[in-house]
Amino acid sequence: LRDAADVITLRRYTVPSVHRRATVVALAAVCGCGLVLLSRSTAEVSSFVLLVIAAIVAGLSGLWSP
Amino acid sequence: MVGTMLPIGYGERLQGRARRSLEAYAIGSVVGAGSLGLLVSELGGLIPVEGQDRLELALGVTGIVAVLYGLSDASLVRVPRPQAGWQVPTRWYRRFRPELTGLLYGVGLGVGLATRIQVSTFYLLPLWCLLTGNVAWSVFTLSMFGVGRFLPLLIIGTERGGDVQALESLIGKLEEFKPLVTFGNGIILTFVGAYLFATVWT
Repeated sequence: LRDAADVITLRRYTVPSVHRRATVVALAAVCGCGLVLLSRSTAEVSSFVLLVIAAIVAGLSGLWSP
Repeated sequence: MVGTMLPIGYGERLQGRARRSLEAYAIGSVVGAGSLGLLVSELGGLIPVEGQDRLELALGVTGIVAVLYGLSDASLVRVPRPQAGWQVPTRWYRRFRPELTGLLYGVGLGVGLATRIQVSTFYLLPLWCLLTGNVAWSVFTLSMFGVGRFLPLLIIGTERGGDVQALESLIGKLEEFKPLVTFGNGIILTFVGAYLFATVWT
């Protein structure tokens, strides 16, 4: 929780352990699969929406380019 | 790019001119990224698969690639990251007018493929455009990448563009959070990848 507070307040970021990273990524994968069951739109439309979000995230990450 | 584009805009303001370079950068980013979407989706039109099979191919392959790169961005596995590594030349801002410099930087970085690829999420976009071959959706999706590239610069430029000390402090702070951005992209990639892959089986 202290680490999360440090990140939210932009104080510092400590790279989590492999175990934590793996847990978070596995959770993201489960949520992704779970969303398929909840989604009511067609695969074409929902994947397009997700790809647009991913595109914006990739663009924003360009802020860290040299 | 913050450290290059914002001082150009600041210089324009010092000379009493409107900061056209940032607007030109925004236009260049969207046009460059959209052009890549157009090119790749047109190439995708050559793939001889149509209809539902094509959609499943796009979902399956993009899903697997997204999960792999997600694990890579989370530093859990190593996946090759092909990239050109070219950098937009710094001499452009001495040679050209600020507006043209902004436009050229925008196009160069908006295309994305020629320069260093910061996060793996980018790989997903041209791959998806190629496999779906849908021109309109591809141009729109990659244009959103361009929007994502210029939006923070416009916001920071408006808020702190004239305060050099604040800008330097911000750049330093941003650098500290680079690993978080990569990890965050890893989480998003895995989420999107799992979703895309799972849709094939439902």
